[in-house]
Amino acid sequence: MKLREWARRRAGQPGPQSALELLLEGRQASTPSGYPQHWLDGVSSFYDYLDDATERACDGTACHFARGASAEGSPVHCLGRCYEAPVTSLEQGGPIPRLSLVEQPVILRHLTEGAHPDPETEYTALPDAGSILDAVIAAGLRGRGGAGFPTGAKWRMARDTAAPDRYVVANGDEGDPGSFVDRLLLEEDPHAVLAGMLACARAIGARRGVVFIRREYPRARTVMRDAIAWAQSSGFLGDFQVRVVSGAGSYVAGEETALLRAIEGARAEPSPKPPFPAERGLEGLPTVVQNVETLAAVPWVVERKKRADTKVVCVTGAVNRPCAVEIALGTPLSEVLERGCGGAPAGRPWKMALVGGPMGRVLSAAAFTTPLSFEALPGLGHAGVHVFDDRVSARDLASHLFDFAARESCGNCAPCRIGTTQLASRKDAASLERLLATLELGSLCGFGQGVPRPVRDLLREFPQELFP
Amino acid sequence: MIEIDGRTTSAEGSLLDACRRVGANVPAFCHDQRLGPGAHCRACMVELDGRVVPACTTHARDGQRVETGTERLEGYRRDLAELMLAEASPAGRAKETLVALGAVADRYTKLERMHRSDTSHPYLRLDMQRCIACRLCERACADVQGQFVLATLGRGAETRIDWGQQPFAGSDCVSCGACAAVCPTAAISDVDRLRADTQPEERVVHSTCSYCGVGCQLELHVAADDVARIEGADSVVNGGQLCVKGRYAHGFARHPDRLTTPLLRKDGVLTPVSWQEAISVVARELSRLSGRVAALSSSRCTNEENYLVQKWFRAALGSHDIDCCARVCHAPSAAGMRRSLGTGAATNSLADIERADLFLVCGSNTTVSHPVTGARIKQAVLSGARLVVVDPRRTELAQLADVHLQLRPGSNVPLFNALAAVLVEEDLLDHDFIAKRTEGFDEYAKFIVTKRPELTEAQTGIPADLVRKAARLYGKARRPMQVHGLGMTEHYQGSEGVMLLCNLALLVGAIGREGVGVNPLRGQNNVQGAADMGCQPDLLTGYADPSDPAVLERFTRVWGRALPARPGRTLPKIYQGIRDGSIAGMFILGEDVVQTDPDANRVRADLASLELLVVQEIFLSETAKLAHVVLPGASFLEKDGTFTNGERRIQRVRKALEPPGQARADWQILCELMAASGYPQTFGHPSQIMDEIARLAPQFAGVSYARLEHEGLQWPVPSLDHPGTPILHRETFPQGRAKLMRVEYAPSPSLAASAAKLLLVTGRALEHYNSGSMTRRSKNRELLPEDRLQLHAEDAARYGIKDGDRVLVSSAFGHALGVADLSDEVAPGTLFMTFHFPESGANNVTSNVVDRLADCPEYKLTPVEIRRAD
Repeated sequence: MKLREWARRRAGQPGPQSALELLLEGRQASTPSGYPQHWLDGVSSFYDYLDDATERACDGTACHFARGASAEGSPVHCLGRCYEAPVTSLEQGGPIPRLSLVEQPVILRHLTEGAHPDPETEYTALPDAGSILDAVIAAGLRGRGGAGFPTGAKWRMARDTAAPDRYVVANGDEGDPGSFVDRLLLEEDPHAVLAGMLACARAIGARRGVVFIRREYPRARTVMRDAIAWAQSSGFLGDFQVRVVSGAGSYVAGEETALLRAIEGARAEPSPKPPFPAERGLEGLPTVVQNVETLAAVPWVVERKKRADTKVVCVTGAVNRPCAVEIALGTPLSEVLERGCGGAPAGRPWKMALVGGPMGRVLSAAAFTTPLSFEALPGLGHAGVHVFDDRVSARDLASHLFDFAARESCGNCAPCRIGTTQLASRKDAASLERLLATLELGSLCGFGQGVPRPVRDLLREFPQELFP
Repeated sequence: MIEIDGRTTSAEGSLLDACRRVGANVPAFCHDQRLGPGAHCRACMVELDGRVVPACTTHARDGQRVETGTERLEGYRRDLAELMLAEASPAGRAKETLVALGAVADRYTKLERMHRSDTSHPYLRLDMQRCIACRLCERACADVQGQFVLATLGRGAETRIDWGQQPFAGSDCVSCGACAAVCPTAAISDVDRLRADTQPEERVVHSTCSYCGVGCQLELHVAADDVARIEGADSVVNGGQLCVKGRYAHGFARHPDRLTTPLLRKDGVLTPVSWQEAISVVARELSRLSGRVAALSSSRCTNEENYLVQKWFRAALGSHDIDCCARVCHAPSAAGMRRSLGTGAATNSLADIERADLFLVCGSNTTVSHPVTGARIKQAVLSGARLVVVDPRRTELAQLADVHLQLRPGSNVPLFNALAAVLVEEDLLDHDFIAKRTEGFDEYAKFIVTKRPELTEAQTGIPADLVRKAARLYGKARRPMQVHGLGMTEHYQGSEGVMLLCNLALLVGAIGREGVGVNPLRGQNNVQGAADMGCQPDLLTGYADPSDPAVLERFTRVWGRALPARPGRTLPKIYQGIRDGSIAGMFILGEDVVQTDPDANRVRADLASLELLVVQEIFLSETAKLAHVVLPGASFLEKDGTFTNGERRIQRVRKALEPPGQARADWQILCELMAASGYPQTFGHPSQIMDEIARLAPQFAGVSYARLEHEGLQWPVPSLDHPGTPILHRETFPQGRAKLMRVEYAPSPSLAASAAKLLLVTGRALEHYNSGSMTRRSKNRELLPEDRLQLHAEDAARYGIKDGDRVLVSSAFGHALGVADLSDEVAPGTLFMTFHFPESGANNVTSNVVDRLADCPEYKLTPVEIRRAD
């Protein structure tokens, strides 16, 4: 932040300009930005999706295994179109398949068959500030981004921290390969997300909001910008000022402290907690960072004052109907796959599933009866599910996970920066276990701490395939 | 309380702090006490009630139990260390730590990375294959110096520290050395550190820097009777930080040019003689010329030495004709502030920089002339404080300012009157303060409304709305702090300009509390002290007035001699005295006036006409070359004493080395001279001199060497149990109320006397110090080998001058040569030149105009012509 102030003052500009936004705008070097060039290089070399004009193949989990090989060139890592894998970046994709296994969907309430978003009601039905926080706490709402942190507690912390203003940030950096529910919500029900932000803003006393949307979701950004403009001009947002900030290609940017750095325009490196963003976030102000899916549930929760015990699960891979499916938390995976996704394609028996993305869990087919809930399956995360049939070996999956870890580690802390480069070259289980312990114990953020989780499952379930 | 490995300590700070307190051996590579935790290296993990947590970012809480050496932790640390060895080949203390952790180097696959190394800089060395990406260097560069030279590039395994495409010497680095000081791996190191690696250091001596008036505290690492390296000491003054001069420019100490024997001019040639002969010649000649002798004392020397010089001349030689280089720098600050506020010294402390919410920086290129203070102001501004800069040059701080008032040189008085007029007109006043603590407001208010900025645009060249904007910032700030430099003082109306600064502070009540004040940044390490000690003609030790009978009685009693009746003369008047024959002998201690005083040709002629010129020096300076007797003194590294910095803080100077050859500590030489003058002194150590000063001057009554041991003392210190005075004028002013001064603008006579259109301003560069006698004899010369003449491209084009051309600068007084430096730091019509190199002769062109109240030369305004030198 000191550098940004330095640059702002040297450039003589009225408002602080984010280095990342400068880079994304492709600002010419001749325009004085105030930033030293090598410092801009430090930002640009952190992100790998500044250039979105070139066609790039997706190498997310679904595309990787659908293709049966790594993508050529400089691939992107998940475009959120896993249901039609493999895909490339400039294609016009098909609609996102979605359905609900619960009678009264919460998150997909406007998006399943026969339902329609009703933007105006979304805002007008919000209760006043006093009852919002109580409702969120009473509903036991927990973050859907992966950590499952109680939403009400976070809001209360922000509200109770003395400050001249506060921020609400919608985390639309859906980085987990295999998840596309945030994209679905941002593109097709932006007002649910925005109304959720408004509810939070009222509850905590925030006047400023940011919707951070990953670079890989260009349509989501356009739709959200239009939605904000409409809601603002219609007067629904009052003095709540919201803007959209684009990511630039970094998985770790989805971590909440790293996300704040990205919004500030810097390298998206996580910082230690405390202080939590709810105490000290953007511009030093209390900042609630909430996943898009959580925010979409908020208007429903505060209007109806009911518990929202559902979750959207995105299922891809070896199923007949890949889709985003809203389920009651606690539904066994097997039921989701059978009822929601039409079971396995003929002749290809299931072998295992990666649940919750690359920091999630690996379940063998025998364990598909496991209920999908934060308690029964720690590591459920954002609940992307990729199902593998018997053509994929555990070693292939491990290699894919190792590649992902090394590619996306931000480099901020030593165990993760160096450790993720060493996973693939471990020659035996003991050596790998030792490295996993170091990653888990030492890493600064959930990324390095989470890398070992699915690898341990593979070691336990398929030891012979990993180290024959 | 908190328990660590069975030992208890208070639950303060982080767990790492607590571990360090009980002596638990927890490795940490990215933690620095000043910079705080980095959370990058993750080596400091400990077990807290069974959980593994990072010690650096976990707060200590009562009742916690911490273990630092469990099997799990040891396994973790060893594995982490082995990972680090796969990435880098660290040296230095990081390597020692990794080895101690039992790391096996080849357990992990060595990563092939791009490594830069760089030897382009005379002091700093970069070898990035050693780097473990702990980021301390980047943070030191950003969060201490505010320079942003080092940045992190790449992601994941590509993460690396970089400084841009160019060689390091071509970067924006200001060579403060903070990066090398914090680097645990020697990836960034400096030549002093590398030498210290091979040569065992014998001891560490704490002392005070002898460059500018900031007064940074030093750790002198001594080996083989030489300074091996210098580190910043953790003190309230500099918090461990130093600049390129203080940290690196110590090569002068053992330079072959050092004077090692007394010299006596025989048959026109300076010839080595014995101390006995030199001393007796000086005493005999001074005695012969009795009544016609003058002294110039040295702001580079200690308080004790300055005290002795004036005691000698006043008590033994019967002359008040004594001055010091405050005359050529901040005498106008002292004079102006004494008239306005009653005390001629900074009202506040450096620590107030972190408390201020606005800085008004006037005529001070702080990041160059007082680099550590400049960096501190820069940090405060980058952390949210506002900044108004008044300077004809677009200095580094001006480039960061909210408002830069780029005034025409010499227009201080109309500008500061205009600022005050806005405060009054727009009622941005502290009426309560004005009513209770000032006098003359009603008349002042009537006067000042005629000085509105709209009426002074033509004089200052600054649009009125910009002046109003600056005044509003100052008037609306809660804690507006002024700092000013020689751009305020070295003018025909220097003292009056300073009074106007006082007016501003008085109008908004910004005196006598934290984070505010009027604060001259003293130029030389002990220029404050030289004046405090009485090295000025009109005031005795402690600013005592010799016309006061009680003062006379006290000094006569302590000194055992009557004081002379004839009033003394300032330095410019001493030169006049040489010309009119009333002065025939002069003693100059550690000042190279031929190079640094204005109208240098005249100075040279004056000194050459003396019957006796005695120069006590460490090098054969331009002035010493004219002397009849040259006495070899000691540098600050070679003697004990005290310096007083710009915030009135008296700090210890401690002997680290022996003086070279027969050179001696200056206080010892002075004692011998006094004895030879028939006035023997009994001082066996400088501390005894300070004891006498404490008996004589009420401001220093509570000062003793024992009390100066840590952090020094800020005068006034009226008694032994008084803690010193960080902030002056809290309750009242010495004369009761402060005065709002009405000052009319009187343009410099230089402007009327010359038709030349370009205005020359002189000053310092970062790399060199005044006459350059010390910095030119260090590798700082490689960083800046010559005096540069800054000029705007428009002027350069008009005179057919290209960047790098040698330029002849001419005034009514003489000629100088500078190397053209085309720069937008100066406005068209303004030139800037440094005066560090004798061969450039910058002061041959500066004029004989002086401040009309304090006799300070007008270095900051000389009309000149320029042309390309062929």
